[in-house]
Amino acid sequence: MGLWAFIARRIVLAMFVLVVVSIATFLLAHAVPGDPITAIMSERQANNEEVRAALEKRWGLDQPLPVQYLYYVNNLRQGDWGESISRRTPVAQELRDRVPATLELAGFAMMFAIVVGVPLGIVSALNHDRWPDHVARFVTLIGTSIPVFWLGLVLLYVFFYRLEWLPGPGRLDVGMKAPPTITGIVTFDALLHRDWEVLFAALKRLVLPAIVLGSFAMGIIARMLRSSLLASLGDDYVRTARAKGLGERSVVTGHALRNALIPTVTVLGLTTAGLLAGAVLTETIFSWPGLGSFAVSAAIKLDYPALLGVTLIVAVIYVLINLLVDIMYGLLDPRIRSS
Amino acid sequence: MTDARFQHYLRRLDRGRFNRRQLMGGAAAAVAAPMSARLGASGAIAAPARAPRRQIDASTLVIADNLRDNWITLDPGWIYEINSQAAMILNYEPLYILPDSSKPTEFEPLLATEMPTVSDDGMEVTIPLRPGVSFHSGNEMTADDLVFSWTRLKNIKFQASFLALDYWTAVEAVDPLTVKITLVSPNAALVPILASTPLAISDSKLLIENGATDAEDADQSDTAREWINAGNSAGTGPYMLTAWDIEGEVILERNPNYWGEAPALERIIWRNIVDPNSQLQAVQAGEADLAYALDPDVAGSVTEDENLQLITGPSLAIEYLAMHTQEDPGGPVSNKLVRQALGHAIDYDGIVNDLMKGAAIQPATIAPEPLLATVEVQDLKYTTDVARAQELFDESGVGPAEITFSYAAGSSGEGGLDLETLCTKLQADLEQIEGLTVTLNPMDPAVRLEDYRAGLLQFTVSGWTPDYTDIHTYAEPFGRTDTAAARRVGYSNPDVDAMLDAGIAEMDPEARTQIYIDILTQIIEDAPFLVLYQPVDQKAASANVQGVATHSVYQLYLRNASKTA
Repeated sequence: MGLWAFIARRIVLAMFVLVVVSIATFLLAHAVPGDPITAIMSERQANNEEVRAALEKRWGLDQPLPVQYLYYVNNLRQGDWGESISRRTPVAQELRDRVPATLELAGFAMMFAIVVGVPLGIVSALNHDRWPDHVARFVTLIGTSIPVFWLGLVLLYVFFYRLEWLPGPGRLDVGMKAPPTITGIVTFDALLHRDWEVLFAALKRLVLPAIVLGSFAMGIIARMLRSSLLASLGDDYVRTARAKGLGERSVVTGHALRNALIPTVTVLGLTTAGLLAGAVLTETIFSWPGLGSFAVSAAIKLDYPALLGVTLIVAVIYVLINLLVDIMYGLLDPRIRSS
Repeated sequence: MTDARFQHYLRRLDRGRFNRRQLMGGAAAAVAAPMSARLGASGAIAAPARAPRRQIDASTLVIADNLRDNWITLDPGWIYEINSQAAMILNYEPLYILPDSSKPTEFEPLLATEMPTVSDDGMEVTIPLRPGVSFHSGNEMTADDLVFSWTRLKNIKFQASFLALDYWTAVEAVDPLTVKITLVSPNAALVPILASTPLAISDSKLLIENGATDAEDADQSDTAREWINAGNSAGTGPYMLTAWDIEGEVILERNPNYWGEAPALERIIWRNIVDPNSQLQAVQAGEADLAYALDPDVAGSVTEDENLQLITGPSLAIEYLAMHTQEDPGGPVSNKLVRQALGHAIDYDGIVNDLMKGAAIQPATIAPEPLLATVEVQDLKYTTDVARAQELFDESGVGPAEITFSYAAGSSGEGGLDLETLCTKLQADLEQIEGLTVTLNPMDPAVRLEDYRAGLLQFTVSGWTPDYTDIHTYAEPFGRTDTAAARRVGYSNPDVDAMLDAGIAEMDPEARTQIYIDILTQIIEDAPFLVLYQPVDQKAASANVQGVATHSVYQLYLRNASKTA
């Protein structure tokens, strides 16, 4: 199968997944006990039927479920994602603001995970059972086992409060205005506007949350790469390459590493998707305006429009990343594409 | 890692003299310290005081607060959130204001020039408005703006609409600077009600230009909130909103044309910092001047730090137990003697001093101190007396009984107290009564709220915050048949209902006090609710902050705020 046919088939499947996700989320959200209107009504107004009716009408909750879903899909087609019940803001605007912030944090976290995790995995595998291996495994163990909230609080305490090397929670310095929005990713927008002061401030404020968010992925990548590289290094084709007289560097980078990267790419893809959707604790500790905290808040408050919006976006992200992973598989190993 | 060793590392960190090995050790110490404290290592670890680096100039006050979860809008038609009241009262002004909430009857005219003139039958109120007041836009304030604002609030039909709906039948502009209100019934709590921020007067011309309407269908058609949330302002206050980003910062700048005395600060910035510990660290590190949330556990370390100050004041919030008074679903607690027995089994001192670290008091009943009549009924409050509890329980004759104690899992009560901790303690306290078994029932918060409001819960714990600073805002919802909290526990006492009618209409302060003493006494006797504690508001601020006070309704009173360099 050609690459384009392969991609087309994946896209059709992805569309189907999105429709199923939207229906399932809609039904599940409404099946959960609890009522979002009760949650936003004041104690004083709790039994005021006129107020309840007005609020139900505002969010279309006075209609039967199938009608609500059809309205939702129809509005979605026109770019209207509805209004959040708990925050009273357009969901589309929330997503527009939050997705770039999440992408920015997850991007830097993944950068940290790759820059630290890949060399650690290689060093670990090439020094199997020697001290660099032990040190690297210890570091990855810490990365995967320390709770995120704890690591975040400790890093803030040491580097923000005690040492004063890095700034505290927030995306920009106190009173600092973000550059006019182009992408919503502050570092990128500052770069495009050549606003070096904002760029520098934003980068400094990304260091700690990126380390905290990326530490788990770093550990996973390093461990996965170590084990798969160790397996590759024992394979026949590596022995053959060595027997042909190739240098160790080209045996590792040209042969073993290429194969060892396939499972690592799988993990990388899934971990990236997890970073995008599951950064709730990091976002809370560092007051980052991301998607994770929005999703949790929407779920707790049974905020149907917000819940549907965020689920769809996360589903799109997962589907896109899986698509990218599949394409990378295809590029790394043509046999996968043809099968 | 011992505490002494950890302190040694902190001191070295303070001086900034570390080699790489020592730094690694310090980081390890920091990692180990919270764990050792958690595991019960000897003594708490207090960070040594040091001067914070100043990052903010003296004309700007920065307040760290969890804006993300607690702020929604500064639109007077839609606002009902608690934390944002501090900004609201600077931006929009009502007719009256309560400058000091520890003196809850001392209201002052703000956009009115004097206290209301009440007709002989108590049904009509005339209020003169302050002349020469301009909105932030420059438009002149008139009585028409008031009528528009209140009609819009009523027709938006949201959380605070009862303020413009329940107490009067008509509001009219007699002339550009006089309004006449026709009341539903004589109302002794009118001035406290009129001091609520949702009843602030907003700029009708500007709001209408930006999507506002006071029409009947305002709940569906009014779109001005989006305009306000874009960082716009339509009030008369000493500050005006210039930036609104609850994930980043909300900024209020000084109104150069303010009708009253100009405030000292040029701007006040609310900065979104979600975690309370990080809020305090931001103050300590100089990134903020004041932390809105303060864990009672660390309040002691604030008072010990010479660079910080602890700003305290009474809150009017209460955390209470609600017991259903009807057989279904009340079961044993529908028996008054059982409810009274439970009142004597609770260790109130333990809650106030151990769980709340002294940052709370125990009011006698559902009305917090120092509201009208609350001091007079202090002696009637339930005190811990397990023998008396047992006596009452035995006297009730219900025999061995089981109570299902429902609470909102993973939530905090008023004053930030973890509900798991509180409910576990209460379970142990109540089970001191022989023959009584208490089963904890953690529920999803939304479901618990729904069930409680539907009157389905036998026994639960809940919080209450004031709508305005008058005894009636507690006595009525907790005491009147089929109203708010009373309805949720099926409480009905015709004597209390009659006294509430009399209390709200009584204009003579002494006679009114006596009525509410009688109401509170009856509610204490009937015991449909047991109040566990009333938290004290605590805020941590830099030592150079002056003129900031906590406030039981506006949360923070910042009109007199200033800073030294």
